[in-house]
Amino acid sequence: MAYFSETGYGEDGRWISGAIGTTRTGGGMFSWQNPEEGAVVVDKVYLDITTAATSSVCTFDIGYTATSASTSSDTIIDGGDPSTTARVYNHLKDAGTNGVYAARVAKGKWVTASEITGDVTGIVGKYYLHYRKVRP
Amino acid sequence: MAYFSETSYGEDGRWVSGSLTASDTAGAIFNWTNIEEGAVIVDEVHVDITTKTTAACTLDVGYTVTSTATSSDTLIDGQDINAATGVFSNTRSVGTGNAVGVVRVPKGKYITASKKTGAAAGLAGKWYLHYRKVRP
Repeated sequence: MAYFSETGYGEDGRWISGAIGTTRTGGGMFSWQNPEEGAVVVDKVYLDITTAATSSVCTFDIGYTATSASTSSDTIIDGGDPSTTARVYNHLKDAGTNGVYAARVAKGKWVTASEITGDVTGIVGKYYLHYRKVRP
Repeated sequence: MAYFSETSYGEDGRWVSGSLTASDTAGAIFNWTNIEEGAVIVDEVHVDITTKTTAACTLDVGYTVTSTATSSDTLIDGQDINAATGVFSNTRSVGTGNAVGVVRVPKGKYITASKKTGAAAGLAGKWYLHYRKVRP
């Protein structure tokens, strides 16, 4: 995969995806660990929620953490609210107060998605995360 | 074209484009139908206005299940296209009105661009739309 480059075309990074979980602990909606040999910049995160949460109260966070796959963080999406509407939640619209649109993730560290308030039970959908490697 | 994938490199989706039409009819500035065999996620829309409207006018762009002649504002909501020429995008419009940044479009459904207020006469330019397929 290509690095960020001073002058380059076609360096489109890597997408990963999977089903959104409904486990109510930290990282229970999904967690991703940087498997590359160095740091990456995560620049796009989409949650394609096709079925909203059963509860009328539900918010989630997505973000970078150096701690563990079960630690919540809100540095990318802060307080996304899928309690009533099924749509594509994303780092642009749903950054909230603490989301900063993109995150540097050191080798072996994590991006996690976690229930923060209410109950994520009932959510159905997939997540998509895009990153590029950072040249050492 | 590549799907979003669980683990993949180099899947950079597809761009489609065309000319803007100076029409006041819903969906007539431009419209696009998802011609893929399944749903896609539209993550970028750029409207490159090289000649602004003659009189006051605002623009909506968004997703609709109804028809190519139905207006929607889920990507760009009420952009002024009379004040200046320029490239107006979904990323800039996020958080304005009903714009949600990124949308899912099922097979055979639509993205439309419509006059919201005023009159579109005089408008000229191109539109660019980027999407990725969602794996069934």
